[in-house]
Amino acid sequence: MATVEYQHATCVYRGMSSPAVDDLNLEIEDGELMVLVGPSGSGKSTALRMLAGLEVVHSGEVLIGGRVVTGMQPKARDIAMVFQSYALYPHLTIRGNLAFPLKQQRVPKAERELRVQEAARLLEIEPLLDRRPGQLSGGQRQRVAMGRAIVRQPQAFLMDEPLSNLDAKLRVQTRAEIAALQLRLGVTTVYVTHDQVEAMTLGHRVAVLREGRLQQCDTPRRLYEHPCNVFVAGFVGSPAMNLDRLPFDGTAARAGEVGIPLPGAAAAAARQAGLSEVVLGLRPESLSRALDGGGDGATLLSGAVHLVEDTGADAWVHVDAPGGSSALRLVALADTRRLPTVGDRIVLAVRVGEAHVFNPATGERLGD
Amino acid sequence: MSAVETTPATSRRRFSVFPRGRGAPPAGGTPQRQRRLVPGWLPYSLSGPALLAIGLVIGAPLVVSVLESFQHYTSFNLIQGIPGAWTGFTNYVDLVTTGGLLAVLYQTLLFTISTVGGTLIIGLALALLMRRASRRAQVFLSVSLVVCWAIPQVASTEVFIQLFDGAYGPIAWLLSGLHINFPNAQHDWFANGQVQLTMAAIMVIWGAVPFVALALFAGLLQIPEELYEAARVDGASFLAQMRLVTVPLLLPILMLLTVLSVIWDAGVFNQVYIVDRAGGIGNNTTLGVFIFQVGIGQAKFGEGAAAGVVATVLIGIVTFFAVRQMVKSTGAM
Amino acid sequence: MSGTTAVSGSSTVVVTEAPRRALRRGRHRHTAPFSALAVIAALLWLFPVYWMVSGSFKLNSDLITSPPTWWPAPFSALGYQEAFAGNFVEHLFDSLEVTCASVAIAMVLSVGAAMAVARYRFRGRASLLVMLIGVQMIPFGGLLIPMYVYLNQFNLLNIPGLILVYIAPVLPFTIWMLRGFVVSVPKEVEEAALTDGCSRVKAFMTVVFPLIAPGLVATAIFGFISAWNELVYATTILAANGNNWTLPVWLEEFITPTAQVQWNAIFAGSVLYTLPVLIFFLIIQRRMMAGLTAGAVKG
Repeated sequence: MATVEYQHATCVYRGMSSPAVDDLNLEIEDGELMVLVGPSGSGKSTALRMLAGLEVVHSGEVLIGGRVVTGMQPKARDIAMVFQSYALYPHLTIRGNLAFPLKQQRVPKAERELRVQEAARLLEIEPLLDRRPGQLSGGQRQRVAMGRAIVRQPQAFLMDEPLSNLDAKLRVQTRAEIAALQLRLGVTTVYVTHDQVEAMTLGHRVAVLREGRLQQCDTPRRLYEHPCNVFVAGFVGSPAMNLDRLPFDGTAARAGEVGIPLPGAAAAAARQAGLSEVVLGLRPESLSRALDGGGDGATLLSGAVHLVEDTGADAWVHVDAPGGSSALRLVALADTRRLPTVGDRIVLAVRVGEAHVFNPATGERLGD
Repeated sequence: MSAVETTPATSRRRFSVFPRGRGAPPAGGTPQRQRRLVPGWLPYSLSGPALLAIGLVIGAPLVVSVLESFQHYTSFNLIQGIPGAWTGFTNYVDLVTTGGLLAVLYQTLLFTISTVGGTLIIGLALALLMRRASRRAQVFLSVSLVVCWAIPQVASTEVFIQLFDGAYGPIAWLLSGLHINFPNAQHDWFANGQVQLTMAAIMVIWGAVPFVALALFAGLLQIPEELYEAARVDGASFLAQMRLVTVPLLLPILMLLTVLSVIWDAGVFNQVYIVDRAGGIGNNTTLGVFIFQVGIGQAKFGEGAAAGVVATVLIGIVTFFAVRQMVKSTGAM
Repeated sequence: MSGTTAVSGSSTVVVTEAPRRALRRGRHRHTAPFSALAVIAALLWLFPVYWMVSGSFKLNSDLITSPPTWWPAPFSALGYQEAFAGNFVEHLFDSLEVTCASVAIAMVLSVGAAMAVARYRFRGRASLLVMLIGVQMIPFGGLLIPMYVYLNQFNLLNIPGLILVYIAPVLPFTIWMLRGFVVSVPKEVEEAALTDGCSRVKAFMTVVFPLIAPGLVATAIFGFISAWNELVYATTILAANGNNWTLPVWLEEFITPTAQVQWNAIFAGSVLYTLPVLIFFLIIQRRMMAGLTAGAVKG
């Protein structure tokens, strides 16, 4: 059984005022692909390396397969790691690179060659087996790095931003292949990335980290629909959620003259906390162009279009709407068939039921 | 059965938070107490033997030497086994007043400036030349330079002495052929005088340029071509490109080479010594030979040691800033 | 998965490849004048070498002609005969013994120290680095007397004593150079070896060591030259020992006593003295250059 756990794991770099990883508690199930995501400096790589044994766990424990591995040498932890820079052995052929971990485990030659061949076939790098890393392209090297990890049957795969050095198109392609591969092999995987799209598409669950602390660990869907604080709300989803600090009048957030009624539970929580302001979060898809007045009782915001981004399948309009003391910059999903142009005045209908509300002081989610 | 393809994960059972403890605790001691990646004693044991060697072979004699510089210590003391008498700074004073230390220092300064300067300039010129030359020419020149560098100093010095032979050497022939009568074609280049030192300087430069040229060439290769292209687009002339791109990026190597060259050339012994012997030992020496002459030639060990101390301190002062920069660049400071 | 065509380029490959690669890159168009100049410079620089080699094959009388004889005619091996008669071979082995032993030991000591300084943080690291440079400034010749007294005390005024003496002076430079090499091996490659099942020692042997091999070669050359070249200590320590001289001592002694200077023999001796170094060099020339780059730039 290969579960992975962090228990109050903390890592402090010498000379830093705050820990790189602060009291991390995480349970990763057998066979799960858990993504650690966050901006740079969030501690995600450090957390991964603590698992590998390449960083010191100053307090707390790390467990692999139910076994406490804190303080153990990397080689004793039965993990395989894919590095961001691939870290292939430059002086060995690809075959040599793939066979290296098996050699260390003293796997007999015949079986070694069999497994190398299998891994190469799986990753479609068979023609490259006799070349050296220096002769390969970035994408090919990435596959070899993956191959080196899968020739073994470790308890866990650790991947440190394996796609970030690839160009965009290759990244998308390889992402899907990694997902399929992981499912097929069924090995518990901890995957680090700074790209939230990668996190959302790959992870069975995603752990969002910020400045060394875990913000929220949930399935991608739940992260998207129920972010637990402002940071997660703004981090997950692209384009980012519209987050604005607005005055609260007891039931609604006021954007200039328009009152945006808040969901009941959120409003109640805000009243209970005695807040005069709230942070209102609206995803672009919660704002749509209201061409016909929007219907009765619809909450409408009007403003001027100052940018249109047409990506083919989707289009986003950036709108300046009056919002009281300062203007609101809103990003809304637009119908590609009827795109406004820059300078147009448009009216946006707000789907108030989809609003997210946060406490301006703590950033915590209000309501359910 | 294929070893890599396993059946996909079937269930995702919930598990308990507390570790199950599979069998015996892992080898390597209690994990909870081992909070370091690398045992603390490792760096020291790795560098220990080397430091010990340096301490024994250089450190100890160095200390003795410094002590001796403050004593009156000659071969008399050595043979008779009598310890030297403490005389404070007498040795140092004597070196300056009667020993001719200042003259030697001055000579050494001129010598070092010309050798280091000559080596660096020629080396840089050759490196730049190689960069623009065809691959064949690059290989030819670098192999030639390596061959020259490999020639041991004793051998090369003797060859140069014969080359410059006043009567039969090719240089004399060349000069007379060009009708250059400076000083005069049959001149003995190795008679005492500045000229003798100049000969030694030429030999030192000849032997030092290969290393410098090849190191600089390698450094030049590391400079991305794009920087030069950007400079050209901005309208920079050749000299401007040198100033804005080449020199700043070569600075680390240049500094390293300069420091090394100063250290080596200020203390150079072989060439100057051999040239001295060829022409008759005279007053024109540099520090390296001077220390030897005083300490061993005249068997004034105390004074010789004092000269050594002076040399070290001076070289240290001269290279101080460059050295500090080098240590800083390793991130250790 | 679609196959992508291989594109050359490397980010993980150690600097060993760099100079060769760069030499292959298309250079500026007008290489001819520079190539010509480069060849001229090479020939100019080689002239003394040519003179030495050609001189070794001349009759002594041909070396004291005016104008000078440019080409050995008749070709004569007299110079070499005299050199061999002067016990060249015996002293060759002495030199080899001293040089190889001191270089080997110095290499072993340097590697450990370089690893420590390059990879690990420990108290005293900065001072150690400063000391390594500082020690190089000490004029080694100045330590001759105390050294002599020491060795005398322990009965080491012989070949083993000389070996001991030669080890320490090269260490600062070799440690510094090797440090540059170790630094140039990406830490992640070493970490990959650790996660692939190697202990620290194994990781070093299988990954780091092969990658710093060019550096080891370069530093070994440096040590070799220093020992091969060294005159003062060899003369002083081995002076009494007529049968056990290193080659530089032998060559100098060869020159001095003769009433009439036999230049052809001297040149022959010089050529013979140079040969071992040259052979060593030419074999590993390319790796050495790569070595110097990584060492110098990263340092």
